[in-house]
Amino acid sequence: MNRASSNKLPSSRAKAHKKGSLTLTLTKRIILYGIMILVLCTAQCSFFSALKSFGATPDLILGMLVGIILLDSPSAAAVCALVAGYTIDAIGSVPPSFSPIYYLACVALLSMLSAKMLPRFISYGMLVAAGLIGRAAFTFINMCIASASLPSWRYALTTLAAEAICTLIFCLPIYFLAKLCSAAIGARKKFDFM
Amino acid sequence: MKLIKSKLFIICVIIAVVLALTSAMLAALGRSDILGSAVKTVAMPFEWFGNKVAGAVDGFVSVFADYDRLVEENEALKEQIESLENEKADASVLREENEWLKEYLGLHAENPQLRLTSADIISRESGNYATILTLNCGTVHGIKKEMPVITADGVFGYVSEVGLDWCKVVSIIETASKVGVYTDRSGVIGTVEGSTELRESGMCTMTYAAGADIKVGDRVYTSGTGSIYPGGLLLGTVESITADEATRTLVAEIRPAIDFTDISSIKGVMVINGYLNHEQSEQ
Repeated sequence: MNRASSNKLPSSRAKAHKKGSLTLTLTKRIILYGIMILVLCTAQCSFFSALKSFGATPDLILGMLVGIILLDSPSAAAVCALVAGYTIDAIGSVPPSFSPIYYLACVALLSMLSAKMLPRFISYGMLVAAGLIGRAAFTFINMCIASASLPSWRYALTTLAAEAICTLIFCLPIYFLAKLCSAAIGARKKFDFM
Repeated sequence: MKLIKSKLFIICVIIAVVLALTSAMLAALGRSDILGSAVKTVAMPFEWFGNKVAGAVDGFVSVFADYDRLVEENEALKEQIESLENEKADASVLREENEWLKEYLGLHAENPQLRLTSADIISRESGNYATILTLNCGTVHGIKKEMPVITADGVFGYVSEVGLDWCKVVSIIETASKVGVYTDRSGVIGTVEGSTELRESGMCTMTYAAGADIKVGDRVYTSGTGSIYPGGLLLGTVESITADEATRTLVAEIRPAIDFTDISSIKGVMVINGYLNHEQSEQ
């Protein structure tokens, strides 16, 4: 009897310890990713939208989501996509709010692409480049909705090209921000050599 | 594939669809999204800070980027000053300039019927498909939906969404915008609308009755018809007149008084939160 109770005690302690550490990780995730979403959304709508480097506003949230997919998990990226999409629409767009759907679709597709990729900077760059196709499609659909017609090809191509270039350039440093967050959370994947 | 089949992802998708439908329904009913307004209110100080940093960076970079242009401009201005000093009409130029400033900058003095609320731009659009500004004034400042927004140069647009201490403004070059106008020379009445083709060049179109007397260079003012804009505000000038192949009618291309191609240079935005005829009609 004594032996049985002494065997149970460490296992219940271990369970409680595991549960406590999971709660701590979740709290860290909510705080750090929440701050990152708020900072990137406001930076996109105020700083980058005012400067219009390369003639367009970059999609920083795409970079953040790719970073989370690679360095944390696709599930965390899906929740961040929902929150970030809603936040970006609340800050810098008019209803209806389609960004959460777009970002969730991006997470779904990019997580499939990232399935056999190592969490390295080169993979991050490739995934962001792949995500630009989705971004271009989203912008084009929004252009059509905004004008209730097909925009001219010249206008659409110049806007989409400018957006793709500046998104790719400004998203690259976000990898290191995502890496910092995932390291602080303790969610960084194995095989991270860079 | 694992992610798509997971419960968490399915729940996220359902929430996203519900959010999209709810925001669309609220917008259609003319109601504001409370959660969105709260998010926007929380983000406002960060946006204000980001915008200030952007302004500082822009100013710093432009000193180096525009150095050659500034030198040339400086030389040209020196020559201009010399020639102006020799002219007797110097005083009349200053008088004209003064009148112009009174007319457009001193909108309070010239338009006593307008009640104006000055505001600062704190953020801009998130994407590259629409021109939307966010101003730092909202319901606490007496701002309501569909109030007109102007600058010293002319009409900017109207308030499309209002929060506690912020509001979103849609510009006149957007396709969602329609303004009743008249021309100063011949008094032709028409409607100015945004155009997808012209949006990039910061212009919009004016449709008017066939055979009306419109010429390039005519100034276009708001007519006061409709529920948003008061009459007599400068909107722009007729840049060219083209034929619309689809409707086989003539369409005037309008160059707005505000330079929408360089939206970062727009300063001194004012919201008209009341004007005489509008208040009477509301009562």
